[in-house]
Amino acid sequence: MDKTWNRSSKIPLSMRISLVIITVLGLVALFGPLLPLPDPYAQNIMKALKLPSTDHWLGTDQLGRDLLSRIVAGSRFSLLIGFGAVLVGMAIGLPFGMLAGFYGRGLDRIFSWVIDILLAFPGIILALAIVAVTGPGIGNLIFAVGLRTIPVFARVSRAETLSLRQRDFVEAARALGCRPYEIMYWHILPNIVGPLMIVASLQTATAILIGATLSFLGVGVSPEVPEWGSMLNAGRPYMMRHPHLVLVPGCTLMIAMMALNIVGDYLRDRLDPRAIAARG
Amino acid sequence: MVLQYTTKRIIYLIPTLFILSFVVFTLVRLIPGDPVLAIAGPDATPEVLEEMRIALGLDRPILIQYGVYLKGLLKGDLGTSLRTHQPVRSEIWRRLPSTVELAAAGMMISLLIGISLGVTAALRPGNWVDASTRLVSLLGVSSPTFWTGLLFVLAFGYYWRLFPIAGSGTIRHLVLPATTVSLTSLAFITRLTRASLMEVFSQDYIRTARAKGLPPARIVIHHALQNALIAPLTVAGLEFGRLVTGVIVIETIFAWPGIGKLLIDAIQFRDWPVIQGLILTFALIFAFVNLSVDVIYAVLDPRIRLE
Repeated sequence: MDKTWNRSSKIPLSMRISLVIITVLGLVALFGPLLPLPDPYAQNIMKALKLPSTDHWLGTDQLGRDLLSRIVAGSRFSLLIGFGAVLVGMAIGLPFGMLAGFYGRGLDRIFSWVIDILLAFPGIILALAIVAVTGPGIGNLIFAVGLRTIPVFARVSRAETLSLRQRDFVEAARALGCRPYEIMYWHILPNIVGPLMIVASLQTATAILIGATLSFLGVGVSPEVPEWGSMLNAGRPYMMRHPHLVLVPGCTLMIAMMALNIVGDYLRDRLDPRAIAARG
Repeated sequence: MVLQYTTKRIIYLIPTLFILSFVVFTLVRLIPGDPVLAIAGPDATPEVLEEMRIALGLDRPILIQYGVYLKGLLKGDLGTSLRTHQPVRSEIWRRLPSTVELAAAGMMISLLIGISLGVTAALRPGNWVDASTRLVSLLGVSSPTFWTGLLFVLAFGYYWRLFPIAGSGTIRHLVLPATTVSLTSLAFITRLTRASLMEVFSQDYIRTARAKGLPPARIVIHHALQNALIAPLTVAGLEFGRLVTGVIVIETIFAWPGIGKLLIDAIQFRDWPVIQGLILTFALIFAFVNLSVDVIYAVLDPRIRLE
């Protein structure tokens, strides 16, 4: 542990900037309502489609709503979708993956088959199918996007459990009379947290992206909700004359994606020696 | 050998597709709202509704309904659209070529440019080509397809009117949508080609080839690329999923008359026979793309066939 911290000076600049961006986003999402900003839902047609000014730092949208307030309010929805979907995927995928990896045989076979079927859908098609059934709404969106991450988490935890199952410390725990669930919880789970975190950070980025895509297509959250993707969709008809309506949410989304991807890639390179070898 | 492998894979595919069709069938039945009411309109009397329900077979148990649907499915009948009253099959069939055109063009661009960029970067790691490739691929992975699409519309369709931003038919119409679709995959394929080629470069047989005094171009083309390209080609299959996502979004932005736009329209109108047919179509295409990639993979790499 000490060694890791001593090397902290070697953390690349891009990684530091990304961590700052993610922290700021997280803080804004948590404490956004406390900021001295106009109401993100308050309409004022007299002030519609204004360029950035001292009153409205990022300008206003087609209904005169303050864009900065909406971006801040949107951070909450986007992060909620990202983390929510990953939690759904982990909560379902992790236990199934561990059980399949731990017990193997028939259970593993059925499990791998179900995973194959889930993966037979391109990600967005599955999410679209769910949203088509449930209709728009933030909870439905989280579920739809989360379902897509289940097989990803299940596969990782299965593979990691499989490789740990025969290790000496697991054998030792078994010899000491630990029950299977105790072995899985106390001995295997702590050892697969690392890989899971890498997957989680990359999947959060993907989940935010898919959530925003569905909202952009008009089938995610309801249109008045200030989610970044749905803001882009709402600004689209006006973008030729008022490009700031799409530039503001689009750039925010891209910066957030970049930060999450850089952190995910860094963690992967750091914790997976094969990736370092391949990187050269 | 390859034939045997292919047949085995196709046989494995059949039960998966059956389960898939059943899951989609039941899932779509869960869509809230009475489909009969949607067809007949709000003015219909209860008697008319009941009659229609019997005519459509919706009064029967779900397993029987599925049986009827499956029977039609095997004959290639996907039902009738609630919105246009056209057979779903002809609706899909009419739009499929546009989507295939867009997806194929996008895939070609990302493979051609991605592999060339990756090779260039791997040959001189650390120079400006490599550095800018890294930046471009990070941008490509991080910017959502719909965002790049909107930027392209804004830049090329409005400020510099170089290409049409809506519709299809000519090569000029294809430029913007296909480029947008290719970008995410392009970024990924570039990174992968670079990594894979660097790994091959460090292997003994390449050192042997160098020691023999072979010209560098020959080493790269004849010795290294053959092994290094396996990874990007397999991933091209997986990338197809991402490509499909892109295609759906891009068809919506550029008013491209393909099955992606059809799906979004169908979801907004709750046109369930079309949704059902399209999801099956997408899954089928996806399965066959994966299958063909695996077969190509087996042809390229004899080690896989022997297993």
